[in-house]
Formats: sequence, structure tokens, C-alpha cells
Amino acid sequence: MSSIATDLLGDSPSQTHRRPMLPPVVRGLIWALIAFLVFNTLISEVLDRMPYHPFVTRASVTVGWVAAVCAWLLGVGVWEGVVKPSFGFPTLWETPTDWRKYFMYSTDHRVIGLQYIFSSIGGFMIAGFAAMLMRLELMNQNLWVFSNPGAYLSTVGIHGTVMMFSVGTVGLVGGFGNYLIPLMVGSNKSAFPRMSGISQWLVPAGIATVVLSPVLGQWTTGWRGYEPLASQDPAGIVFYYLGVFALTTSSLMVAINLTATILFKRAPGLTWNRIPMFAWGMLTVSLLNLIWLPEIQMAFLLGLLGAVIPFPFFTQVGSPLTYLEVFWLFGHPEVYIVVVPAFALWQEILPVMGQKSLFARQWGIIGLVFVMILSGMVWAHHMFTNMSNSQMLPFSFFTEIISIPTGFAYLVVIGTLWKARLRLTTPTLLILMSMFNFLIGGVTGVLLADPVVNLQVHDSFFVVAHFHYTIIGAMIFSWFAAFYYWLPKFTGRMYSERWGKVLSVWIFIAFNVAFLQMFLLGLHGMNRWVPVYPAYLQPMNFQVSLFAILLGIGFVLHFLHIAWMWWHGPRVEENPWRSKTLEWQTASPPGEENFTTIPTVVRGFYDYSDDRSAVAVDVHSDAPKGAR
Amino acid sequence: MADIVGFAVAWIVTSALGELGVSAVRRGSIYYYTASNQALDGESAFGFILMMLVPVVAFIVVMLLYNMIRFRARGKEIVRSHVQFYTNKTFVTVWIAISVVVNLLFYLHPTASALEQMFNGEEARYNRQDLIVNVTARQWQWLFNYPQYNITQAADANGNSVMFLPADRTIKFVLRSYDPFHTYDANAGVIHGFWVPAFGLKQDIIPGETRYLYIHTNKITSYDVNPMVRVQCTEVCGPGHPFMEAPVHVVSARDFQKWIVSQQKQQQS
Amino acid sequence: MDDVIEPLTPKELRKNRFGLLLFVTSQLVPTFVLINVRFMLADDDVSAQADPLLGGLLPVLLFLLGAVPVWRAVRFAAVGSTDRMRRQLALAGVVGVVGLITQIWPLIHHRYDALAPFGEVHLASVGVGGFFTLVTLILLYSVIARAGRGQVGPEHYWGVEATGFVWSFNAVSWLAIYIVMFWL
Repeated sequence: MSSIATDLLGDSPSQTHRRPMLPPVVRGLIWALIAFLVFNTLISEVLDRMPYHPFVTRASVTVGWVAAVCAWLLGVGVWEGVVKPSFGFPTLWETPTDWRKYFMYSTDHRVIGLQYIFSSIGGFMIAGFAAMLMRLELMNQNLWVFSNPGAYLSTVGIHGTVMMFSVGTVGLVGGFGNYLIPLMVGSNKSAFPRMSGISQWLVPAGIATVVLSPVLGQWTTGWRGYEPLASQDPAGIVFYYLGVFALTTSSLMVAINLTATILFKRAPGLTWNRIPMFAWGMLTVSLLNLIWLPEIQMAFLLGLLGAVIPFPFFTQVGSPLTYLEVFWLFGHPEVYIVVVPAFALWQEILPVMGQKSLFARQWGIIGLVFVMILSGMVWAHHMFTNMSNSQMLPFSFFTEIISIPTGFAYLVVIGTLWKARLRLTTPTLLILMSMFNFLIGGVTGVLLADPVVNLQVHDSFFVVAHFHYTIIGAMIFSWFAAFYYWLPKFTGRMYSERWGKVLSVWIFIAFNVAFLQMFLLGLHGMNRWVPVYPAYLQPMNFQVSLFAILLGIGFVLHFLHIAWMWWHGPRVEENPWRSKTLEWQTASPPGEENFTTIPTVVRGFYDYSDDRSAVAVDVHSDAPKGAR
Repeated sequence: MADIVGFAVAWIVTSALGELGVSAVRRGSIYYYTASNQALDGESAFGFILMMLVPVVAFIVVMLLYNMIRFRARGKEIVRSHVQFYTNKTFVTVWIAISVVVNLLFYLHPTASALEQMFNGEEARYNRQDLIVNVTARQWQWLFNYPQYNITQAADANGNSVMFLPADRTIKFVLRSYDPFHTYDANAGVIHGFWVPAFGLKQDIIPGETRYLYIHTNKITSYDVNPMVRVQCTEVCGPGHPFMEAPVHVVSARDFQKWIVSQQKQQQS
Repeated sequence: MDDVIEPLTPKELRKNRFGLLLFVTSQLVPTFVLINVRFMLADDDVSAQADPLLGGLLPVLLFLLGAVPVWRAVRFAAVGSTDRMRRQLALAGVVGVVGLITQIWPLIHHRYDALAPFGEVHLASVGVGGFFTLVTLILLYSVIARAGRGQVGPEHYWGVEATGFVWSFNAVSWLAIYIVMFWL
């Protein structure tokens, strides 16, 4: 059934030695359970007994969780793959070649990429289901789905947290980034495969932690975790902090790995001038991640200490505003971490679909870089309602001018599409829709950057509509474009154009009707975090919910379509889009190695003025470069 | 050439239609219902930005559609485009110049200008005749106190907080977040947000800080006339957050005096 | 699995160094946040009951001192004297463990009010610093273990060099926190 393919160092083992072993995921769960019980009990019964000896206390659950996550990682394969070799005991880790390789620790970047993609789809479905519950609740002005506002607010928090940290930051970067970047730069491996393998398994742990938070209790802050409310909240908030720790640690490892891969694993001839646009997106995002993820980890550590010990850092005898500052210092770059990969994708895919050279490539790169730089200077525009007047002007200034480098992405695309021969495939359609949606998101961002307007619409549904336009509108739509564009690469099969287009139009209409009305709801006086609202807002809320549910169904259908085509789609050649980028110059799906001989790059990837390939022809075989 | 002309025509027509739409909206009410000068200022800033951005939005949307329709591939064969260029100095320069200029202009007006107006409105010398309302936010209730009239907690006959204000007057709201009924617990306060949707501005209330909001009422109205004339908490403050509301009544100066007297009597009993 | 370890190519060594540099840079950020928080929450107060040595100067000195054997070990590794390298690493390990204990001692026993501004910030810093030290020591121990099995040699001693960088980073970041806590 399964053959022993390779061990972790890439060599075939000299002996085949099979030890009976549980499936790694099962072993990981069991070890996690044991570790949790041991460490939780150690704290709650032995070292830190609380009055009335509850079995699970905030302190014990924190320590138990850390032990459980470590044990989970070890069980899934990190024990044999990383820990034992690090201490001098290299071990055989059998990697099957069939579907089971996706359910264990792996160092193959293609396996890791798909694992990330599945994890982020799982997070999307779970958080999307939470959103459906929220919109269902909001169809009526009274509580009718949830029995109390705290339960609704916990759902809001789970929705936001899982979406931001396991879909927004992971879907394009951890998923598509891990799979494609080594292929795009002409390498067979990523820079740090063992770390990459560890990072993946933190994502299910993080998602599960946040989703399980109601087991500990409610938490009412939403994904921002504002203090002092957070230190007052029931215990559910502990799993919010811990889940985000796991997810951000994962993304930090991805950032290091992708940066080092792009810098050190490039094929000969792939100069800085020829780095693919998607890779530039990954570089800028990784730099942002490197600086700001540890920042939020520190902020959340302080919040966790405020919830567990509890240290009164951010209570009214401390400084609540300090929490807001440290949160938003991360929180603003975070949204650019989410959307910059989408900008890069627009510039990556459209030259191929239009079979026309990328226009003003340097300005596209400058745009990505300056968005990255400016994103760290605007955070307090989330705090216009609680700062002093004199601080408003500089933050408003930087927020407004960030629209300039953002516009460069549009400049590049418009110039590329002018006089092109644009094939209106599903990826094209989704990217154009994404650009339209982000335009609305961006324009409402300019409105929000004006402090006087901001002081009216802050903390209302106007803001909710704005950030869903930028996040769903730009990132999620581009995420789907990436699925359709690279499906032939992952599977060697093509999707159905008819279904792809119909479903895309479906989600476009549902999305716009639902969220455009949300702007109006905000202007009409609807505040955030309310399962119960004045009656005059109910008719529009009902409609928004209707279209939001249609949107949810549309997303599910998209994934069902992609899943169906993954296994049953018609087979296509290895480069159906006639792209010149490197990942398409090898077999689809890639064989055992991405490239049997590492290609030599001789010209840029986005020059469609002639038919010449960007790589030198492989002189060692008759077949064109790539494995069969 | 023909394409540039064709696009320009489509763009101008779309911009014109867009401007018509925006001015129709501005003649109505972007903020749905306003009851203060600050709301009018905010509304006009909002409308100005929309009006200025219509040509920009029209440019992008028409460009995307034009490219999608006019330059689409015909036939099933994947064919390279015959026209290929890597850059166009004029286009890029004009684009960058316009985006920089529009941004700077926006910063001057309405951003800085409206802010300056707001700052000026808060100058002490313009606020000597203000009605002072002490607003206390606690979980999960608003408490209104009128220090100039010795009204410690304004309430209706059922004991629920209610806020009466005179029309055509500047009100200085003094905002605090603490629990006057549980002062023994220093950790009890959370962040709340004070917002009357019809007044056009809000402020967050941070426990441990006193913050100020200046509103100049400009019409007689109340929660019974329009539900946007209510105090609504806008910063999540726990499970009671959605219920943290209070009705507002803006009345004539004489009616306001009558209400003050009735409150003082209610307080004595 | 054989005991033959592939030597690291110069490019791989550069890649490893760069990756570690990225990681260390990213971990400077929590130190920076802690420094900021110290001033935002506690001004420049120092509690009179704070012990200047335990959770203060002692770990600073020990970590700085411990950097010497670690870097000597790197040099020994480069020239192939694995025995002396292992002795230096072991010495660093002992210094590190003592340093860790002196660093986290306030978590067990402190005389200031843990809920006052200085106390809470100091305890948080000590905890974070102790965590970083623990990670450094685990890394050090893993290198010692591998060296004991003959897997560290003049052509493949990246682990020792990495330990040098991580140890130095840990020492510098605790020094920064110490100065900010007690002197600024």
C-alpha cells in the first residue's frame, strides 16, 4: 500500500525498518491529552491549589495547554523529525506516498503547503459558520438564536480571531506561499523544511483552541481583546490568547522560511530584478510578520497575565490605553499582512491571462514596499475616539497617503490590461471583482481617515462593512482566484469554467448587496457588538442577513466545486495558462522533485513580447525542463 | 487613439452620472438625521470626499470594464497580445502626480480644516455659556448629572436615565467611566463609548480619564421623533453592552427650564 | 542512519546565519515592547524593596560571563578540538543554569508589591527573560548532546555558532531590560 519513500534528510534509508505506530495525528492527540492532564493537575492540585480546588483553573489550563500543544507537535512527528535528531539520535521517519502523508509531520514544502491550505479552509468554514449564526441572530431585533448576549459576543470573537489569524494571514502566505515559492524561485526545497513542518501543525492547534474557548467560559471583547474588559471577562478569554499564540508562532516561522527561501534558494540567473511578483508580496509580508507578530505576542502575553494572575496592567489603576496602543501597533500592519498578498496576486496572474507584459513592474514593487513601510505608521487611526486632538493630524496624514502606494497596484494592472488579449477565465473574473471590491473598501478607508467623519462612524457597522470589503473583497476573492489559477498546478486537472464563473458572480452579488447595506446601517446609527438593536434597524438587517447567508452558501459551493474538480476534473497539460513563470515550467503536479535539473533563468518572467521561455532549455534531456 | 477617446467618453459620462447621484444623496442626508452643528460639519466633509472621489472611482471602474470588454481575447487559442509595452512615462507620471495632489488637497480640506473647526469649538473662550452635563458610564447604564442645576441623576418617572437638552445651545459633555455604586472596586471600570448618532461625534470613555465632547444642538427633536436621537454605547463593555442606551430630548429653552424644575422636585422627594 | 554528517556549504551556512538573524531580530521586538510598557505603566519608578541583584544585576553578569566560554567553544569547534569545545559548552551550561535561577528568583520570592506598577512590570520582565534563557539553555544542551555523539566537527558546527548568537542575544536583551528597569 504505502511505500517507504524518503527519510527526513532526503536519502533513501539503507534498511527498511517498520515499527508499528499509531497514525501520527491520533498519537498527537493522545499525547496532548496525557500532557494536559499531567501538567494541569500538577498546577491545580499540587503547586497552586485554589480555594475549593477546581480541577481546571486559569493558571493550570494555561500551563496544561502549553504542554498539550508541545505534546501534540511531538506526537504528530516532531519527536522523530526534529527533537531526537537535535539531541543526537537521528531517527527513521517513514513518509508514505499516498494521502497519509498529509496527516503527519512532513518536510516536503508541497505537502506542507497543501496542509496549510486545508487548515485555512477549515478555519474559514468554522469561522464562516460562526458568522452565519451571528447573521441569523441579527435578522431579528431581539435575542432568538442565542440565549444571552455573552454567547453571541463569544461567537463574534471566535469568528474574528479565527478568520484573521488562520485564514487572513495563513491562507495565501502559509498555504500558497509554502507550496509555490520554492517552485517559483527554481528550488526543490524551502530554506528550513524542518521548521516549516513544525509550523503547519500549530495551525489546527490554534484554531481548535480558539473554537474551544466556550468550554472555559464566555468572552465578550471580540477579536481585539480590549482591556480592561478582557481582564474582567470569564475564562474563555484565556484560550483566545493561547490560540493566537499558536497561530502567530506558525506565521512567524513561515515568514522566516519564505524570506530565506527567496533570498538563498534562487535558481542561477534569478537576479533581484527577476524576482516574481508573488515572491515580492511574500517578502514584504514576511518582513511585516517578523516585526509585528512578536509584538502582538508580547501584548497578548501581558493580557494573559492580566487574566490569569491577574496583573492589573490595563485596569483603570493601570493604563487601559497602553493595551490599545500595543494592540493597534500590530493590528494595523496585520490588515496589510492580509491584503498585500492579494495585491501581489493581481500583478502575478493578470499578465498571464492577458498574455501581455507586466506594466511598470518597478512601481508595483515600490507600491508593495511602501505600503509595508507606511502600514507601521498609521495605527492610531483606530483610536481617534480616545486620543488627544493634537495626535489626530499626523495619523490622519499617514493614513491618507498610504492610498498612494496602494494605487500603484491598480496602476500596474490597468497598464497591463490595456491592449491585452484578456482571457475571461474564472481567475481573471475573480481578480477584477477583487479589485472592484477593494476600491470600495479603499474609498471608505479614505472617508474613515478623516477624523471628523471617523468620529461619527467609528465603532459602527460602517467600519464593519469597510474592513469586510477590504478583507473578503480583496483577499478572499483573490484567494479563490489563486485556487482556480493554481488548481491545474496542484492536481494536473482543470475546473469547470461554467461553474467557476457562475459561482463567482453569485458570491460577488451576494457579497456586495450584503455589505453595501452595512455601510448604510452604520450611518443610520447601528453600533457594533450588539445582538439586540432598536427596531428601526431591523428591516435592513434582515436583508443583509439574507444575502450574507447566500454568500456563505456560495463560498461552500465554491469549495465543493474545487474539491470535485480536484479529483474528477479533466486532465490538462502542465502549463494550461501559457505562463512564463517558473512554477509552470515543470510537471503538474510536480513529480518527486520539483526540477530534476535546476533551471537557469535567462530573462524576466513577465515579458510576453515574444514566445521565448524565461529559462534556458535543459540540455540534458529531450523532454523540456521538469520531471515527467 | 480611438480607444483612448472611447474610454475618455465613457469615463466622463460615468463621472457625470456619479456626481448626479452623489449630489442627490447630499441634498438628502448622508447621516440620515442630524441634530447638531457638528453632525452637519461631518456630513459635509463626507459629502465633499465622495464628490471628489467620484471621478477616481469612475476611472478605475470604467478602466476595468473597458479592458475586460474591449481587450478580451477572442477565440479559444491562447494568443500573445500584439501590442506590448513595459511602461508609459506620461501615464505613470500623471497618475502619481494626481494621486499625490489629491491626497494633499484632501489633507488640507476637509481633514485639517474640519479638525481645526472642531478644535476651535472646544476653545475655553467660546464655551463659557455651555450647559455642562456630567456623563457617567457604568456597566451597563448611563447616568446624567447636571452640576449647574444640582441634579445628581436625571431620570424619568420610572427611574431610567434620560437626557434633556436645550436647543441652540452648546453642551459640554464631561465623560467618565466608573461605577458610583461600587467605588470599592478599582478594577471595575471598562471602556465605553458615548454616541448620540444624530449629534455626529462620539468619544470613547477610558476609566481613569475624564474626556470632553462639545456639541451644539440645532433643532428641537427627541427619541420619539427619530430613534437616532439616543445615547448608545459604542465600545463593547460586556454582555450588557447592547442594552446601554438612553433616550435624548432636545427641547426649547423654556421647556428645558421646566424639566429642570421638575427634576429638582423629583430629587427632593 | 549513519554517523556521516554532510558538511555545510558556504551558501547553506549563510542561509542559516541569515535565518537566525531574522529570528533574533524578530525577538528583539518583545524586548522593545517590554521596555515601552515599563515606561507607560510605571514611569521610571524603582521600588525600594526590589532586590538589585536577584532578578537584576546577577543574571546580567552571569550571562555576559557565560558568553566567553560559548564563543571559545565556537573557536575550538572550528579548529576541531572537540574535547575543549565540549568542556567550554558544559561550563557555559553551568553558568547558564545559575543565571537562570538568579534571573527568575523574584517569581518565587519578592519583597515588593506584585500588583503595583513596578512590581508587575518587573515580574513580567523576569518571566519573559527567564523563558528566553530557558530556550537558550535547551539549545545549548542539544548541542552538547550532539557533540557527545560525535556529530559536531570542524566542517559542521553551525549548532555551536547558533548557540553563540542566541546566547549573546539573550545576554544583551536582559542587559537592556536590566538597565531600563533599574537605571533609567
